[in-house]
Amino acid sequence: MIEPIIITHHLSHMYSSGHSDKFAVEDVNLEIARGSCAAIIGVTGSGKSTLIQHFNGLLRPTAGTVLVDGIDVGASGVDLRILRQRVGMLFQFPEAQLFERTVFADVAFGPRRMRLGRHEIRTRVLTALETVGLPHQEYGARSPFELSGGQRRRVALAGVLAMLPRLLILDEPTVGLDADARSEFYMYLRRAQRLQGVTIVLVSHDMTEVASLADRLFVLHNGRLVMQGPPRSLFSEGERLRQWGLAAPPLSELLSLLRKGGLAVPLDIFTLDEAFTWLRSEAPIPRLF
Amino acid sequence: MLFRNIPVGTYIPRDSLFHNLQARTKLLILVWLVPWLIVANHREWHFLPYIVLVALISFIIAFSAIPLREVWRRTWLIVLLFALTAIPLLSATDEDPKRLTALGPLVTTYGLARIVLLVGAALFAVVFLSSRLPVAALRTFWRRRGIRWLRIVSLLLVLAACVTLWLIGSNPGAQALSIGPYVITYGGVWTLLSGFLVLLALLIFSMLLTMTTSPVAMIEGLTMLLAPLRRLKLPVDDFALMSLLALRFIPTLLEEAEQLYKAQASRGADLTSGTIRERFQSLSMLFVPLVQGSLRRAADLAVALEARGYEVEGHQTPLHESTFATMDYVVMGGIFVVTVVSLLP
Repeated sequence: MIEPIIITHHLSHMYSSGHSDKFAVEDVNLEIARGSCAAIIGVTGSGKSTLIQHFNGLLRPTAGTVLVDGIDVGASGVDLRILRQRVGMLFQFPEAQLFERTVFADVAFGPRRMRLGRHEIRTRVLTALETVGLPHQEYGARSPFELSGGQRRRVALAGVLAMLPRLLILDEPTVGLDADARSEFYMYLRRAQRLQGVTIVLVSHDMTEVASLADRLFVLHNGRLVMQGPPRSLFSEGERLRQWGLAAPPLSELLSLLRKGGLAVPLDIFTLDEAFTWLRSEAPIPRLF
Repeated sequence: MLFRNIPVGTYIPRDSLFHNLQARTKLLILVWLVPWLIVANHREWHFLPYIVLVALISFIIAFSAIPLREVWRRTWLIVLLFALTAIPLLSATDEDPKRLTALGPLVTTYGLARIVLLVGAALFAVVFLSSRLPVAALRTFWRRRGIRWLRIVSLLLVLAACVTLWLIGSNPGAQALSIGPYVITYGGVWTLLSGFLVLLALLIFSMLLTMTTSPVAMIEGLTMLLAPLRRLKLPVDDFALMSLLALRFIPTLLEEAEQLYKAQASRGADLTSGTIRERFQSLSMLFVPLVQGSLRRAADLAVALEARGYEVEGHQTPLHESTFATMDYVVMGGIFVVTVVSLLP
């Protein structure tokens, strides 16, 4: 078996704000497999952002250990630049971080900081821009400030992808985008994963959104890891999810309601297509409508 | 966190007598203290106003529920500066050249002075070097908070001793060297005492003012005091609104700056590493988005204000009217009476 890319062992982080000390993350043990796509889910204030900031060394654990790609983040004397080159991170509203005059220069910033050669930088930027659907010929020379919100966000994604990270962390990447821009963003993200083989960690408070992308979900509540598993098994436990302030996707909710109503819906139905196939193959349709 | 240690709002929320006073009251007291001290300073060796001043400040500290340690942390530098200026100031002769006392003259020989200087320089050099040695016990000792300044002081003393040695080095060892006499005059003592007390008192009082008054209350108080200037067509309300908005947005900006710093650090732009050119570039990538964000925010705010019917020409009224309580009158009246009485012969 391949070694997981992220291993946390009894990870805790405490914020001390003068008057009171508060655990933002408490005793979290998780493993994220290399090449997979994991999603960390929880309501606002559940410690998601704090947790992922440990993965590229922006925060150090108060207690416990974090191993990212073999690097112990908590150890003193860790070279954070190496770690941050391997771990790309995209925060909420990443379009706010663009600052260069052209899209090309902005995407090239990370690779330049890695002291790569000119040709290498150019190839990487062109590939990254291509991956996010903003070809260089058309967009490279434009100012990032004249693009639309969704496009600017993809420029920011390209800026991270150009550093060729092994791990890509996205903190609520689609907040504030409309439905089209949202699905477009996920499409390009999936393409990046396919092309670069990067491990993705998504953070979201909405499971429906990440369900199609993630192989494994981690549910955080008040800083503790309360549930984990593949989406299928998690979504069949709608009651427990609601307990943590979350809702399973509408389809799963509907199916579980049907099950309660006495309909023998198999537990492994998960997508709309699967539901349709099952409905077609089964007789009870006429009875329903 | 990165920006948590910036002492922007030194306001310390407590529930104390001085906290509960109106901002206007505190501002008026501060404004009144200045002319009172100027008048008091005109009469030499009239100590009563200064005794009253010290008593007043002690009372205010006692009734403001601010720990003495906090006050000391913000004033020790001024006290140190005064201690340094005391050396030339005590022998000042322009006000009252009457001699209070004199130290010295100390007569010695150049040879002895040189030995003393050499031993002193060697001693301080050892102290300084010990801070640089890679010995674990010494390291932890030098990392203690109160100790760090000793390193700089010892280095300065070594330098001073070397310079003095170089200056007197050419004189023959047996020649007599007289140091002093150092004359302390009445005028010097008075200037030092009164000046020191006045500056320290005003510093502590204005510090307590900001420590016990929330910035918003302060602006409101200031606006109310400046209200008569409206007659002169001065834009008092605009000033109030602008200051309040600026105050309101400081935490937001800090938060945004922190977020940006993290985002850019993730892209390899760390302010604490890299060449000088790279660090400047990192600064620019922090400030360009920050300024851009602030401009956008300002535009949004202007729209929001107009949407709620804000008019530049209009007259604003506060949501919570703040009125003087009995305590405000008592404190103001008490301080006024005590200070005026202290001026009487």
